[in-house]
Amino acid sequence: MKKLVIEGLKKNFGKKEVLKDINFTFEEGKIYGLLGRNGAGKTTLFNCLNEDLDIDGGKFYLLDNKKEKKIESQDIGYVLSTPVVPEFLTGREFLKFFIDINKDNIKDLKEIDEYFDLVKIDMDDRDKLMRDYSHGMKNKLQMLVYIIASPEILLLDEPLTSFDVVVAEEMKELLRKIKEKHILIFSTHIMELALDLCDEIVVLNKGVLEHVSKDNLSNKDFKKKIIDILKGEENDYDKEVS
Amino acid sequence: MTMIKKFLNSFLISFKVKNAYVVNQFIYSLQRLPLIGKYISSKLYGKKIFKIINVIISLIRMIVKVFGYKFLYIYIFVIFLFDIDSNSSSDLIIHVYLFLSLIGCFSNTEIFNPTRDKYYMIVLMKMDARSHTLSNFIFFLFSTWLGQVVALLLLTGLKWYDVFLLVSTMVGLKLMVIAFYLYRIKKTKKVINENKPKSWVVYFGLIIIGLFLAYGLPYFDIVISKPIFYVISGVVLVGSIIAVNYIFRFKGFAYLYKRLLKRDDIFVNEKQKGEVMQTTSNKQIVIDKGIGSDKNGFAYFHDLFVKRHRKILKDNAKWTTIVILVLAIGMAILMLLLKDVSLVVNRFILMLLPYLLFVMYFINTGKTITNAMFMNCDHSMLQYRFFRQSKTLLMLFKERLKTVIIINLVPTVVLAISLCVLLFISGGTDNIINYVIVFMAVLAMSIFFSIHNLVIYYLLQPYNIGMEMKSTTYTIVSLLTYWGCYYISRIEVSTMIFGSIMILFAVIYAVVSLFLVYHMAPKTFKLR
Repeated sequence: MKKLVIEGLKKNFGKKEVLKDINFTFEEGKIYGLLGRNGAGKTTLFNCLNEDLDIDGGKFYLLDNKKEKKIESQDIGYVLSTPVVPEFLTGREFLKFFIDINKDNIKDLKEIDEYFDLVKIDMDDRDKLMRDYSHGMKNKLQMLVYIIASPEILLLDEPLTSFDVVVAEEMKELLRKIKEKHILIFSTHIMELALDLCDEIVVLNKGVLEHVSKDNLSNKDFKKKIIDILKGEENDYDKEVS
Repeated sequence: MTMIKKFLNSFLISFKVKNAYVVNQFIYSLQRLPLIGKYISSKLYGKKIFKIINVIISLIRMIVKVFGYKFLYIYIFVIFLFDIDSNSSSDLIIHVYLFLSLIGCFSNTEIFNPTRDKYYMIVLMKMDARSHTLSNFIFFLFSTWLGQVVALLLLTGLKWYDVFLLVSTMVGLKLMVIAFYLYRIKKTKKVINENKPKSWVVYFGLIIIGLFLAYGLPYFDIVISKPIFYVISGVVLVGSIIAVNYIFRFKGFAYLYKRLLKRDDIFVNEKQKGEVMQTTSNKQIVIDKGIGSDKNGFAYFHDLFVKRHRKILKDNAKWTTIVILVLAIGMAILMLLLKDVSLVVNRFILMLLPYLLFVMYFINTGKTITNAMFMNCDHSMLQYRFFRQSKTLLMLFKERLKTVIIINLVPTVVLAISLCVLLFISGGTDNIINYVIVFMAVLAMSIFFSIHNLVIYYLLQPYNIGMEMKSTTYTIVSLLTYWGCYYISRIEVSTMIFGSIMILFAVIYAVVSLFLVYHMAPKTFKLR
């Protein structure tokens, strides 16, 4: 089983310590819901993992059968909340280009149309310039290239918020389908979504990442526990419980 | 009384806000300076002293604007162009000024000018549109009036009462035009933007007519006489009283600015944004069912990019080529007709190379191309990590470099050949190597600018995801390039020496900068 291990990760902006000391191990086969308040550093964490930002301390790596491995470009995918696609290309051209470039890393390569079918993009839209795509369609395309590339780690930053309810449901299904062979980390503000889709809940608060175990709590109590942690009242809660 | 207080209050508030964002922008760009930037703390934003210094600077700028600009305006357009001195007929000055005012009252109204200040104050901060507009408008009118009165009094020999009357007439004309447009808004809901006329042809047509009336008529000895001027003034002043009344009672300012203050209109005026908008504009992507490519991978990607952007990428070069050809042919014909011209051209071409550097700086489309690359392509693709891998990045860089050089080479070769042919027709040169040097040097300049533009783009990628310019270093390098070219263009040195140095420099520059790109771009080429 593969694991994403983060050890003592630090990131500062000037004097502000956004990520103080992140220690966590994410495992394959699970969808992790990353919750955190606005400005808690969720996107910063993703940016660090994707090497968009240089880190100020600590390390992270892929653990494959107890072997430490540096995370290379093909090991990680990052789906942004606002989808960005090259607008001067058609959906089909973008996929062709992407496949051309990443041919060596794609396992089990399919026809381009099969990929389109997977995310249910209409025949008519496949050969349209992407600048004429709706927000949701661009988002599908962005997600699709990572489904094609199938990297070990997939970081998803609020990816479902732009989809209508039907598509969001389809996407959730898709994520559940691919989770077996991936490490999926899913950041969101929407607690219901996190509880519905994710197997584990992780909270980023005050620069530290912590796992929130559901134990035997009911959904309602679990939500309250998470909110208390987010508010920084964990201790009070623990006292109450004990 | 309460109205005056309200106006004064909104004027002061908008002044303060403007002050704050000017200071903040300044600190922000300081923080982005290389080396020293990181020592500049964000706490400076809260420091009052900067705001105070800026108030002083703003006041000085205001004074310069009120007096300096008006002086310059009167001096350039009235005195200098007409060679007017204090003994010239006052009729002529009045005539010229009056018709220039006529142009100004359409093209410079303040009210129909969508500015960033207005956008911040009225749209973002929900300030009362009427009191903001009118308070600033009163200030605008008064400062224009005062500045021009002082300038006319000092620079011309006009009598003080004529000056008062003349400038008041100018202000009156503005008021009448504005009142008319406001009336039109009320009747037809049509809003004009003084920077974006419906038809540029009509706009420039009117300006040319205005200029003709101002400068052309006196040429034919037709000048408005004093009595006619007094009559015009009288009519305008009566009209302007009605206009003022209308403007101050006008209720539709909120509506006006809802229409006028669209984001695109506001930011299109700034130079950088202007360029950005230009290239990012969707119109620039050519949709053509037939466009395709049978290449693979990066070549495929780049091929489609070039084909879909041929409008911005190639049109510039095409037009430059045409202009060069027309100029060269015109010159050649002129030389065949007039012997004297040949002599001048012959000497000039051999001294021309330094100037050409400046010309090449302007006709090189590298900057437009990198802009388009960022806005329509890299802006989104840089988000993908596979796109940022060194191998990938450099492969695409190579493709792009080829394209940029080739696109720019067309006008360059035409220019180089034209110069050699002109040199030959005009009498040739003793040293045959001069032809080679001229040809090679022009080519070297073009290749230098092509490489330079692309290299600084890759090394200093200046934009952030919001398409805002975020790199002070990039701005500085661009400025240095400009100044460098400007100063070199003033050096007087023989073709042989300058040409050889230029060629050598271009070769060395190419080697060094490509080395830098290959080693540093994978780190530097990313979103800010």
